[in-house]
Amino acid sequence: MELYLDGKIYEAGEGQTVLELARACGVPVPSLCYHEGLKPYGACRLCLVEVIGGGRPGIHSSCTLPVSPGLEILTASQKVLNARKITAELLLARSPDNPAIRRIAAQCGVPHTDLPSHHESCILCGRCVRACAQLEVHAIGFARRGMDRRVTVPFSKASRACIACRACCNVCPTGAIESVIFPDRIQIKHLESEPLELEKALCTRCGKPYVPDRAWRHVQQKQPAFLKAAQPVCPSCRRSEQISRLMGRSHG
Amino acid sequence: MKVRSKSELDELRKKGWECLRPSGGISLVVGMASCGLAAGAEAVYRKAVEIAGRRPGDCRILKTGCLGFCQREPLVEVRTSAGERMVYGPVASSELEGYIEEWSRGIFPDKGKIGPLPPLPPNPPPTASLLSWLPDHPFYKHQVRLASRNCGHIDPEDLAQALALGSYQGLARCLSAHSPEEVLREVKSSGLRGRGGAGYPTGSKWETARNAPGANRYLICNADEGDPGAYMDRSLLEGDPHAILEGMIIGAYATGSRHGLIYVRMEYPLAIERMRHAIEEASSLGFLGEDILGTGFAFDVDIVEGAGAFVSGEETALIAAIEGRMAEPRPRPPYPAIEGLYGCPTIINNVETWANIPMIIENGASWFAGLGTAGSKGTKVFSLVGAVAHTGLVEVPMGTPLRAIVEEIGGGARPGRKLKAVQTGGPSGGCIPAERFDLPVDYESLAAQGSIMGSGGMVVLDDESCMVDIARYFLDFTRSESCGKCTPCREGLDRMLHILENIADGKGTEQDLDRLIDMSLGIKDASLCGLGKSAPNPILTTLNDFRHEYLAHVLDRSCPAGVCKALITYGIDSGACSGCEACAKFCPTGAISGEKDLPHRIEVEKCVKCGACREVCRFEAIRVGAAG
Repeated sequence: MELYLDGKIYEAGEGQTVLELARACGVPVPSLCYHEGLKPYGACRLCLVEVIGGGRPGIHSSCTLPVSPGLEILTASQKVLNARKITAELLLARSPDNPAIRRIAAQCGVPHTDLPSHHESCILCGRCVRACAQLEVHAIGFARRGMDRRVTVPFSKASRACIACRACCNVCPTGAIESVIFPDRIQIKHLESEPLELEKALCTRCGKPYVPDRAWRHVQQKQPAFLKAAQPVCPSCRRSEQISRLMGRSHG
Repeated sequence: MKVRSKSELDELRKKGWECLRPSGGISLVVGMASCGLAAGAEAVYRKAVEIAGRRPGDCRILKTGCLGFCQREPLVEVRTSAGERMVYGPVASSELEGYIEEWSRGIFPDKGKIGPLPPLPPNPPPTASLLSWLPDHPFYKHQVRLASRNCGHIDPEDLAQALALGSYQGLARCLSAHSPEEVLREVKSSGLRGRGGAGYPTGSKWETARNAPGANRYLICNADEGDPGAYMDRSLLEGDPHAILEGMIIGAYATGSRHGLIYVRMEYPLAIERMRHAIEEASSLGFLGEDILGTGFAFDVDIVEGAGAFVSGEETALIAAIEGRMAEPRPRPPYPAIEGLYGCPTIINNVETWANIPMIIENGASWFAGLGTAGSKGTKVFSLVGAVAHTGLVEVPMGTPLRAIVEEIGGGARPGRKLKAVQTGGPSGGCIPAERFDLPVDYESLAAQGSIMGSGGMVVLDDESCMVDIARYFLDFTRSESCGKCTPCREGLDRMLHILENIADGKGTEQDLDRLIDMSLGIKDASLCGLGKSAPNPILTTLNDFRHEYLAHVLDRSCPAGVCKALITYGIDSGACSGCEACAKFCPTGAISGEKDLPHRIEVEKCVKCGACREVCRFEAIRVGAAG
């Protein structure tokens, strides 16, 4: 299908979002809560674009806006730039010390703000919550509303569901969720909750610590076809096992 | 017993009519919606039952919903066997004995009399029709009660009475004589628009859902009324639940839906109780459930109690709440009519919208379209509250001038006060200044003023209201009700409230006013859902029409209305003070002292500026002056 970005015709594919199209075509649109591996959420309101034809006119978040034939989009109208600027300034006021936020705010024309600052490390983009949900772990979620909204685990206690997969840390744009990898365990701290420490299971071949036991069991449960009878084997043991198999030797 | 034939239905209607119209003696009908109960209707009802127990056959006691004139609650209507009807209020239980004595002798004393209602004819009307109200009373004469047609006439817990006034006649007609397509066409051509706030054409919404792919469809009645000062939906639910149910069943027939849900906030326990009872009654007579009225059509309705977040009135948040998730909105598209509850096409309409449907079917689209204006058809229910002589539930044709609502129905300002503005649309709406009270009240005219129709809250403000304080109040509300999902609404409303509080504290600057406008416009465009998109409206409209009040706060450091605490001091005019000691008794901090019969004075250090003294003073001796 064909549609218009800033007056130019582009070819878009079924199921694509406007943000994905813009990215693919090299049209710059800032974003924060968007992550290519996660379900779009539309919360940070940086990727705003304006629909001027072919759809319901007005400002939309491009990460949640599906492409449709004949859609006419402006990615940098005055309205869009103003709305983005306010949003960026509000994010900066929330997390004025965060380098990632400062960079995005500066890109949107807000080098500094005189609004009262809150010095929060988490900007509530929800990437971590979505990653955790998509991995079917559901260890973290949002609690409370408005300015009291928090990413947290139930009762702020060390999570009993977290598998220490660290997906949340990896997708966090501001580094708000901390984790430390020790030789024998992983420590993870979901914002203001109690830190969680998970022991690593031992490799059944070499006996060295490998992945957190809970993570192993979670994957085993979710993918029984692959892993039902398997035992944790660390990558280096697995490699030598496979080499042995390829060379026709029995492993053991 | 399921109703299967017209004669069975007529039999029920006859029974209901006998309840409504006494055949001997008198009937007392006590207004027992939440408004009445809050004013003491329960005690009146109990007393009435007690007295009636001593006069068997001579006096019957009935309950009804909201009669509308909340200012005069507890309201009692007396009906005689001659068909006469007279409304009284406020009626105290202690006066009841005397009243009943006179009423049963056909005497209608002047004390507490509001006026006569047109008599009930000997037989029930053949179709659902609008009963007239007090045709000569200023509160009622401009009103056309369509959605609230039966509220205040019937006992909401007696289906027979609703049937007597024509409930479910429209449904019977639909099922027996019209195809779903015809019903849909009728609703579409009536021009009915959603009464919940946004005013989206109801018929188009139904059509989208009907044509959307999917085997299952849901209907939802949005009864999560949350605007401060608004109680339209509550009154309809408590006064005539069958109008809403009938509308939903007709909607289900037109759109091919099998299940309906009523999402009611849990703070409306009486509405929930009466609706639950109505569903049971309607099911037992075969208006709901399998094989409705023997036609093979099936539809059921459940109640979902909402746990009290303002944002769950937003349709996508409401769906999330019903599904058991946090009540958070999501971006649209997809629209709920295509992908809603559990991913199925879902039609969400407000309580009042549903209550209008049966009358459209009964009287025809063109009859409905004959009411109102070119773009806004029918009537609208408002809850008229605030600084006005008569408060209450009001229903007028769309396009009625604001002045008629405020000054005639509402009776204008209270004695000695001057009207300043009307706030429409609740925290999402704006303030219309008194100079523009000739504005016709319809979707387009209100939008052109930067306000919205909203669900129908109407708060009247007079010269004792500070517009900075009003904007601050509504912003404080939306800020604390924001779900916090999107940045502009969560962070923006908080920072704007900070700026407004500064202004109210006399620490603002003129630049702050421009800053508020910039932020408001940005937040309106950038926010995810209707809450954030409309929350700046009270600021924008007050800044537009009452900029001088803001300027007084930032330039002169004064609050002209004498409201903003940081900018005022309380004092006592020694010439006017009689030394009655009332103020000293009521002062919560003991800031007032003086000898009896001699002028009192206020210690500024102890005074918390609560205004209690001013309220109790009968000599207008309490003076509010500029601080400092």
